[in-house]
Amino acid sequence: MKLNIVIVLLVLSSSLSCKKFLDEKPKASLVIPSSPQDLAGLLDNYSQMNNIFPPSLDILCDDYYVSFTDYQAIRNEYERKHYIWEQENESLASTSGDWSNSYKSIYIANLVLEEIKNITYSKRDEPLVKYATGAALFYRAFNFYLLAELYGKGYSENTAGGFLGIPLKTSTDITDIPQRATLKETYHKILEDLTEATQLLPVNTSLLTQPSRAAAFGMLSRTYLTMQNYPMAKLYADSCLAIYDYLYDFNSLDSNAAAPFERFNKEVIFHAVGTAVPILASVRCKVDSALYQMYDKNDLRTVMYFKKNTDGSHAFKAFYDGSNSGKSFVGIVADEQYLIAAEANCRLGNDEEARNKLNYLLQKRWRKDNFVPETEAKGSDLLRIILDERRKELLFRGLRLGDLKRLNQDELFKKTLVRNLNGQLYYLEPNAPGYELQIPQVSIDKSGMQPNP
Amino acid sequence: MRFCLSIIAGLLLCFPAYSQVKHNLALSVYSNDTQSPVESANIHSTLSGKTYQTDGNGFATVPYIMGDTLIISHAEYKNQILAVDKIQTTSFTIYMENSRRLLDEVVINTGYEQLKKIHTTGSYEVITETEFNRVPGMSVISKLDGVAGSVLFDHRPGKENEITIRGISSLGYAPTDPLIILDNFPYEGDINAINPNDIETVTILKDAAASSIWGARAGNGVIILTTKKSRFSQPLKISLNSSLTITPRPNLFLENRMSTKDFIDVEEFLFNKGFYDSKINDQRTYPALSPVVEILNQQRNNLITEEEALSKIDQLSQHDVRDDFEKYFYRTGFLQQYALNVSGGSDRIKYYLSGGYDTDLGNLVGQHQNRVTLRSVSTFKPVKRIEVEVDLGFTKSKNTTRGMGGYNDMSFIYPYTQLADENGDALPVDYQYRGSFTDTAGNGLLLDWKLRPLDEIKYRRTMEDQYMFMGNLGIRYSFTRDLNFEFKYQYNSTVLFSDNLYEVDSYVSRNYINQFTQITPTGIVYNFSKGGINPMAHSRQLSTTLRGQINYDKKIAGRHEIRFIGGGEIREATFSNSSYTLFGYDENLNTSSVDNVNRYPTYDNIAGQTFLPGSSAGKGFTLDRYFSVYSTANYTYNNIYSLSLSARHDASNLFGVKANQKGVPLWSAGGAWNISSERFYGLKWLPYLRARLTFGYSGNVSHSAYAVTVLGYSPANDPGQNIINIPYVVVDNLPNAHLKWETVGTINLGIDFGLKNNRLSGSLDFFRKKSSDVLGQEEIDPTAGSLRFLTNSASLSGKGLDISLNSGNIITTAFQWNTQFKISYVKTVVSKYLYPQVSGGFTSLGFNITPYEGFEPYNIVAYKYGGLDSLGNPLALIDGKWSTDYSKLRNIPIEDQVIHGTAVPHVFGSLINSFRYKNLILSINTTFRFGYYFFRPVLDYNSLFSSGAGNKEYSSRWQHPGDENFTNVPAMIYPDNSNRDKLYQYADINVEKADHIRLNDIRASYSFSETLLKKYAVTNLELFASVSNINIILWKANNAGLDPEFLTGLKPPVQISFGLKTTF
Repeated sequence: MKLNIVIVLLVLSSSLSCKKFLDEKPKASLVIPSSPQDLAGLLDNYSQMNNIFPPSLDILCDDYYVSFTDYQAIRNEYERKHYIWEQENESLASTSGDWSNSYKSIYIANLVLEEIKNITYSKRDEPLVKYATGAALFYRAFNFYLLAELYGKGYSENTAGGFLGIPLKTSTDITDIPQRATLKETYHKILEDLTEATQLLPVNTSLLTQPSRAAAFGMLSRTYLTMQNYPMAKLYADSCLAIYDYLYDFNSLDSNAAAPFERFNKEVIFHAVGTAVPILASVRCKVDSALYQMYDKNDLRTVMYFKKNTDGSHAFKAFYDGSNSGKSFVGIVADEQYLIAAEANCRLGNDEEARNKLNYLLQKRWRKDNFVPETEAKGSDLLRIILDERRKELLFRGLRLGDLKRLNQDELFKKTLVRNLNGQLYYLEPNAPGYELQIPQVSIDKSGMQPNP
Repeated sequence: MRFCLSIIAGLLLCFPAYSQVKHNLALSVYSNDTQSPVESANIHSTLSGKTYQTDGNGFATVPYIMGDTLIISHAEYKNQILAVDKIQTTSFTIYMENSRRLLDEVVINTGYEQLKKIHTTGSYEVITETEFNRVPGMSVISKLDGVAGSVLFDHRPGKENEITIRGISSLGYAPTDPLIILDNFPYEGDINAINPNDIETVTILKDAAASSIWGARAGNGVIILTTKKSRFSQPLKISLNSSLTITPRPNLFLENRMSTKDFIDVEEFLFNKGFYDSKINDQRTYPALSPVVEILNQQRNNLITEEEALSKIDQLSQHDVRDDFEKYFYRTGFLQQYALNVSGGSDRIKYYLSGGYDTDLGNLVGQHQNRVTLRSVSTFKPVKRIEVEVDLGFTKSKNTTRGMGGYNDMSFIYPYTQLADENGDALPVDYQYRGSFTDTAGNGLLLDWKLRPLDEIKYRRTMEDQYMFMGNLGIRYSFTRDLNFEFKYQYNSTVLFSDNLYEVDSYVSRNYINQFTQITPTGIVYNFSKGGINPMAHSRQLSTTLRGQINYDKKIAGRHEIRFIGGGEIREATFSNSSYTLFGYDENLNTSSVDNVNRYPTYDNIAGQTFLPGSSAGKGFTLDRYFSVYSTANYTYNNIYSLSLSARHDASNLFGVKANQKGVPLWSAGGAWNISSERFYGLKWLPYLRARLTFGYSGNVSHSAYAVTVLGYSPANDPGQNIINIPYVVVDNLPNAHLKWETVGTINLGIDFGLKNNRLSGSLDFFRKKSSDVLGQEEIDPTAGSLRFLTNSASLSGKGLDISLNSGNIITTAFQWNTQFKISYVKTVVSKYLYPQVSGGFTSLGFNITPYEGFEPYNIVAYKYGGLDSLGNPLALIDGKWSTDYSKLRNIPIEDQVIHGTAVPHVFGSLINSFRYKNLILSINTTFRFGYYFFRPVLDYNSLFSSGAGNKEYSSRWQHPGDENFTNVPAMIYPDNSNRDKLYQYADINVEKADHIRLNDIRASYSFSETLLKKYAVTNLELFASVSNINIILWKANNAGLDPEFLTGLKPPVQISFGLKTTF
């Protein structure tokens, strides 16, 4: 019996020292986040971080249509439903990944932000740590922004406190799922992350898939524009353009090319593309004829952007990803910044500066000998011109939906959208619930997430 | 004993009758173990037909009859047979073996302790050496197939190595195969490094009471291999076993391949539809075309006339490539096995030395495997109270293959391909490129660019060298007779070197060299070094275990038997591997490096600018650590009532911190009742009856789930990532601090029984199993960053029955007929799974686990099939209507599909009949499996068109309107519709019942009589012959004429073995 006690004591004492014994990781290739390289590497995952942004942003917008035959052949149910703005609870099986893919990127950003505090690193790695932190903040804000565009209403300082935004997930704990923040909280979090990112990110990065300070400035100007905060939108558009303002002169490009803009072309500041969706592929997706009519025949975008189909309609061929498979480009490009600067200046009463920004962009888009700069228009006339040019320049950039939500708040610019399927008409009235996607059913079921009406 | 006696009896019967003197024999009958006289034993004279009984002193007088056979029997003892012949003496003392003891005395090794069966409460199956050695073979585990009743071997191609005990208790994230224990410790090396000749018994621990001592790793059952040892004070014994196994060439003509003529028909059909035109016109990569397509193309281009084309094709159709394969690629296989062991012992020391040599020339030309095993076990008592055991083992094995494999490994071969000419010289086959390209490419400046499969046997080789070392040290200190302390240590390492070679003359090397050769005006540039390719790999598996254990075993007042063990154990198992490839390899060991950074032009731009083939260098390391404490206690009262308790707690680096902190042990409790030993028991016909009831938990550990956040580095050239071409990191695993083992709870009710004279004995075990905390995906809110999360969230429930029966059907001196029957029933159902795995249009071959609540894990799910319409198109049931809108197949809800049931058997077992006539034993093993289903392999146009995989059903396909009344095989259409193919492939009409009974193996042996052998100082000599892999189906449920276990691939040929076993 005495011996039994000895054994028990032996066992007890060894179990105290066994904690260390059992702490060893079970597989060497299992990298437990421990170096700045591990964390920066997480953000360099192209397929996850730059390549699967919500495709629904452009599916919902009014710049295109598909034929009834093509519509019927589209396999993904959500594409068909979103096309006619049919609101329905998303079950997991039919989900587009709009929500889940974005939150996966947010998880990775959060993981980087959490782990970067726990690791030790040498002085040599300090720039990398700074970059990884800034980039993680940028990615998180970028994803929050696109989600807010899809799931939230248009932003207005007066109403945003009362509207629902999105859950602001800022930890990796999978059991800690926050409820939806207000729209105001959502946008302010986006601004907070982006502002912090501008202080951490390098001015330029070697790869266009890695966020730079120019990209963060560009994203800030985009966010402020969405929030209708024009002084700040102007400030950040100018800041972005101060770092990078390259525009192609379309006169020097080959308009016969099947895809005239290659991936990582010189206008791009930050490369981000949506999931490929068949409904937006050039073979099906036809440009709204009214939109096409808006271009002047001397506007080179008619040939650089479009390809005439055999049935007389036009296909869009200027995806900034260099492919025609239905991948919207949602990244940051200098042309958008010019247009933000033009609009903000106009709205702030600086018509001349607004015209300058607009003319600078347009002279690169028009036939050299036929370009007539805008010198006269001012006030709301000028604003209408700028907004039209914004639409004509930024097709399939994931921006139109946000523009519609923003402009629908203005009696002057609000618009009812129409789809025609085999004679059956579908309408989307300004500020209708169809503008907001439904929260995935799983989130409603598992976390009690408040659904959209 | 009976065995020896009958040998003697048999020998004696050979002598002629001398006289028939009338006098009496005096018989004294004693019990073998208690040495007390046996009262009321029956002595039956077979000649006179009279029966006599022993008195209270165990004494009886029986008249002497020359040539008589006396059968001495008693309810509680085994029968004894005495042959009466020319005798020197008239008085005999006969010792009878207690039959009940026979069942009870079996000793069970649990890996931690040796228990007498009478003291156990759990469910065990013991495979004796004789059963284990029915059929020669190199692998310990595969020798259990058809012999161990409770182990199910999945025979489906691709699953051959999967074995389960009492069904699966995990859903794919943790192993489903049992834990293998070699003597005292888990064995995680290559099972083929263990020589089956060193194995004495195999014990299978089935229920929780039996296996829970192995804790978190015993949930799938435990197989314990007990090796041969020696005994103290045993005279020197030498045993020699030797065998030769012959495997004839496999029959390649058994499969349901379509005829060559039909195949050519299909090629002509596709040719006329323009199927090959893109290949024919491809002037950039020159893809290979079949000989028939080349002929048709020549005809179309008017290079040959129609008659010429017809006669050429006719000539091709005369040939069958399977003849070439049988002649040049296969041969008769020879497996030779030799094993020698020496054992003996004095009162202070005992030793066992063994050596084995196996050499196996496989069926495929160039296949060779050999193995040398050495083992030494010595135990000595240096001083009183201390016993030391040193057990060392070493195995070296080498495995070589040559060439490109066999018939099923070369999918690019056409049914009419000729692989050799009349002289047996290798002929080329168009493999990657067309003959017209390889004929002239480089105008003689390139290496020959043809593939000759037969020549590859010379130029391509794989080789594996494996070394296994095992060292065990055990020290036991006995405090008293009842109490001792044991210390055990094991070191086990397996090192594997793999060294493959593509010589410069092999197709692989020549192809790369040519591909990257540039012919310039100034000369030839070889961008890929002109030499062989030598991929190598090296791995090391190493485990060390340290155990301290206290044993207490006491019999108090003759009635109370108490046994207690308690101990602790730490174990570490590591596995490391690395691989790399040498290029430009030649006999002089020259090598060169490969530039993997820059792209190189290819010859004639056939592959554009591309990277050189990379060296697939890699490195890996895994580490498992366990810390365990355990204890068991057994109490038996008066050999009637037994109680057992066990508990074990495991902590591991594979579990989450929170799981390790929780001190909840896995435990079991059980009771057994020897009803027949009760005073009130009176069933004379059933002298042995015992009931057992146990309940407890064991566990199952996953190696694919981790408790911590795990990242994985991925290469820059991954698809998608190659856009930016820098390496990246992915999150492989979300952290789960609660990660723990899966828990398997089992309740087992068992009955052991023995009829009078052991005419029929056996056991029956009924069990229910519930696996909880099973690792499974759980659907989570995607806001968390993932759609699913691997958690201990799924459940399985199972039930079943194991029956084992032994009967002595006929027992006479000269002839005996025994039957051994084992049957198991098991059914497992997924009772909880938190992630919907099943989407619209779901079908399943039942090959992989598909968790679907309420159904079995391996399910066969089919489309409802409506036959063919008047155009020969298959009909699917879509929204309640028969339809040919195949794009809607993916919308069919699971409720509208046909869930046939499991693809693994519910009922399985074996029936072994043994006949002994004098010294000759013949035994026949039939196995059976019931209660499961399979998909009949059918014609799939998609794979027929793309890879030439045809089925002989082709000839019965729909061809003319009206055929739909006779056939279900869809019409051939072009272009092919893969959904249409899938509908037919997964049609419910193609699901067959797999139930069958099979003749598995036959064994015959002859033992020479001891008296004869004594002259040559031989104790034992047995000659045997066996036939295994017979695979004759005695009965089957399906009418398709298919062997459900060999639906695809080659049916393994019959194996014929001869051998001898001898002991000196």
